[in-house]
Amino acid sequence: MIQAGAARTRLLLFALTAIALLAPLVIGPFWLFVGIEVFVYALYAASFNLLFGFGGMLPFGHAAFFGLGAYALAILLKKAGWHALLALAAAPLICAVGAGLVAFFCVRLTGIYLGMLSFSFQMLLYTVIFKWYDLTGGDDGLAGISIPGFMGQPMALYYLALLLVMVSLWPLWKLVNSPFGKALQAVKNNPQKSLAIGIDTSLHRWIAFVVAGFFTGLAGALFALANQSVFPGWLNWSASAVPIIMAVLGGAHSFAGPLIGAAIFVLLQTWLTGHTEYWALFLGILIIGIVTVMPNGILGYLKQDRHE
Amino acid sequence: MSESIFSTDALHKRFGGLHATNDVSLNIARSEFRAIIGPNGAGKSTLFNLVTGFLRPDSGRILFEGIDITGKSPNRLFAGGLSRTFQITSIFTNLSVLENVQVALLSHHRKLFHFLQRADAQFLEPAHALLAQVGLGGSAVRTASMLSHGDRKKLELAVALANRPKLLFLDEPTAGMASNERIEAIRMVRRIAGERDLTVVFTEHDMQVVFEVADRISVLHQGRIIADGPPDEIRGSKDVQRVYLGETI
Amino acid sequence: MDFSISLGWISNPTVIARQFIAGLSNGALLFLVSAGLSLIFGVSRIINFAHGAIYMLGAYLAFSVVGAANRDPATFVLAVAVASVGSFIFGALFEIAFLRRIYRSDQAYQLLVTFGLVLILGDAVRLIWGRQESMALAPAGLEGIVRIGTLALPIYRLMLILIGAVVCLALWFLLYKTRMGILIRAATVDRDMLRALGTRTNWLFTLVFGFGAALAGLAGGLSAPIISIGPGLHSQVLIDAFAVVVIGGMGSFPGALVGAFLLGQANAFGVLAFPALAMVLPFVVMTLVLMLRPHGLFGRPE
Repeated sequence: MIQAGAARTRLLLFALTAIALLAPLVIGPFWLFVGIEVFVYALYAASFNLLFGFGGMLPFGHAAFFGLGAYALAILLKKAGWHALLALAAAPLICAVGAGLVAFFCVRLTGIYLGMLSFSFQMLLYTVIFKWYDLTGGDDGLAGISIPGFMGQPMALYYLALLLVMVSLWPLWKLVNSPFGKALQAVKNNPQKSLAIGIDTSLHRWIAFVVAGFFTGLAGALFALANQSVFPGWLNWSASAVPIIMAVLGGAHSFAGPLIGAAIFVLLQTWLTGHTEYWALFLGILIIGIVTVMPNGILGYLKQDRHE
Repeated sequence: MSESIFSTDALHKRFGGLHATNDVSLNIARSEFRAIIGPNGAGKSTLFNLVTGFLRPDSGRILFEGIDITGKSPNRLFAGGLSRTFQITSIFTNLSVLENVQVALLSHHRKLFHFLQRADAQFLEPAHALLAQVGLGGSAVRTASMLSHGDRKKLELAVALANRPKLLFLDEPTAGMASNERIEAIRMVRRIAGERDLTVVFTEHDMQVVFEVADRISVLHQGRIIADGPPDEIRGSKDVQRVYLGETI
Repeated sequence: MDFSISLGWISNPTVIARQFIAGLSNGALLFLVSAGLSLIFGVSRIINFAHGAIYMLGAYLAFSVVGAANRDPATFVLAVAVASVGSFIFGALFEIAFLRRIYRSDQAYQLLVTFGLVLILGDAVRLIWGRQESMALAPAGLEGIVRIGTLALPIYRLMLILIGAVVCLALWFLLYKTRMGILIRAATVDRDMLRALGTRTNWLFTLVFGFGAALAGLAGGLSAPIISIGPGLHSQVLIDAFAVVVIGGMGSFPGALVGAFLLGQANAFGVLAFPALAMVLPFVVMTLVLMLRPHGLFGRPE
């Protein structure tokens, strides 16, 4: 039974990869951009869920790292004249350092205090970015973020994003199933017991934060390249709801859940914004609906169904 | 007389006006099976939390195998061969029975920071062996949240043995069990302790259980040790009887 | 970025007094909002991310009664009443419909449900009242200024301070002198006590959420004459309220009062002293509080 399930999963993954690889041959630039958005947000959701679904932490300000990654890339590119790919490599590292700093204080706290501290760090960063016009363009943001030459073409960007996201999801997947990942889940479930069996709970949480910050930063940097611009709104307080929505929508208790949640979220938002200017209203209704009807997300709901 | 494996020296702990642990000096000998008894509110759990690193004493020292462990965090004590269970059975309800033991083994073997190996494949044999020893061999793949109360206690014991401890603190190991189950359970612990040359300190309310297996008994009352000796001595102690009959000072 | 600090105003008592009053009046409104947020959290442990949106709803409700050109004091009182009562009803209904089932759930669900409400209300006000920003007028008798020496103080703002003080006293009386208040304070401190209440917990939670919403709506209604009412109104208020309750202590009534006072003054003088950094200051303090004393000035360590 397990073999059949694994084989089915492998087939599904293969099919999805094939679709992803072949899609650019048939779709235009708009949908290429949507595709990049799906990949980027999938990485964003998966890295966030390391903290939330597997680590049991709920930061209210995680979008700070998405925005920091985006701005780090944009500033290195436009203000320091770095080559785009170098900036793309540096941005996640900068975010990892930032996450290390923030996490040092956050992991000592739990629940709402952790959430609020993350929120206040995000607002600090947001305010600095908003006010520092010379460096960040303030409210206008920065534009002209692109890779010169062939690599800047939509199709090239699409494959770059696909490659980087797949290359990033793989270690995240391994991490979640590794001894570290198991210990993290133990810490989430029962921190007291975790201490009793020798787990350094703070250290585990801190590492999870740094890893999540790294990959979220990469997602942000990629998105900046795809969008060719960055805006402070990307790390506004309400932006931090997005990864939570995606994780819960798809199902936070599995690795694949947030990926599915991200895809649905991006596609839904694309469709909604194309059809109505009141897309936020529908999104709000959907969110409340999911929480009320399908709290374990789509994957959780499907798994439940199969067991009954 | 066996050497001392664990001792406390004048431990004190206050919570506001409550002197929960009052000048407690204990001496546990190697391979001893020690019971700590006392009426409700005597401070047994506080004492346990102090000696296992979950609380910091206000003053006093704690020595484990000659090393001062006062103030050391629980995770470091586990690495040093000290294990404990909790009064309210504490397991990882989101993991399977086998994974509960596996994660403790991973911790003991310092493999918690391996990022790329598959956790499920690690230490399968030792994990199964531990489960078999406590009688949970058939439940390995069940989610721990599905276990009955008695099985949870067994799982907790298996997990506590994962680090090949030299010293095991069991907080009310038979709580919630029917009286016939209790004797069985404590006998199993005694047997395992004998096989592994393990020193055990446990708290207990049921005197039948205590007198069944304890080598030595310490009696706690209002934070103080009021009696400390072999079972016969405690049985005959007027002080202990008075405390249990409810006479307050 | 201009990091200059200007301190010339320190020697000018008129400016100090003027800013102090401005700080007090903003603080009064902030107190109303924050007290509501803290009350809701204290009893139900829910962080109401929609609190700013309810404030916005209150402002819109008041505006819909009084319109852009009406100065009739009676209409204004009605407008504020509609804002408060309307918010109460709205909050209570929302709590019954969507919050009741998620009290025992993961905090993420509570965040998402209240955030969902933010999204819905944000678009709803646009649908109903349009996208443009509106302003109401201060009612007759309260517009204009009163002169004290060289000081020119807007009467409406003085009235806000007065109302803030009155509501504060009323809340104090409610919380410390009535049976309901003792219940609320006990629930804040001792979660287990709630279980002893049994099924009546439901109504307590609904009442408290409604009441907290009413306070936010009241603040919104009172703000109508002095702010620009638009769909983006909810954001800044929420952020400010979060800062206040974190600094003052989540679930604490004196915390909300002191926190609102401090933030009101910090904003009033910060804008004078170091304009560039003034916006950052609340978050710096918030961060420091959470790092050094997470439960805030008056909160209880859990």
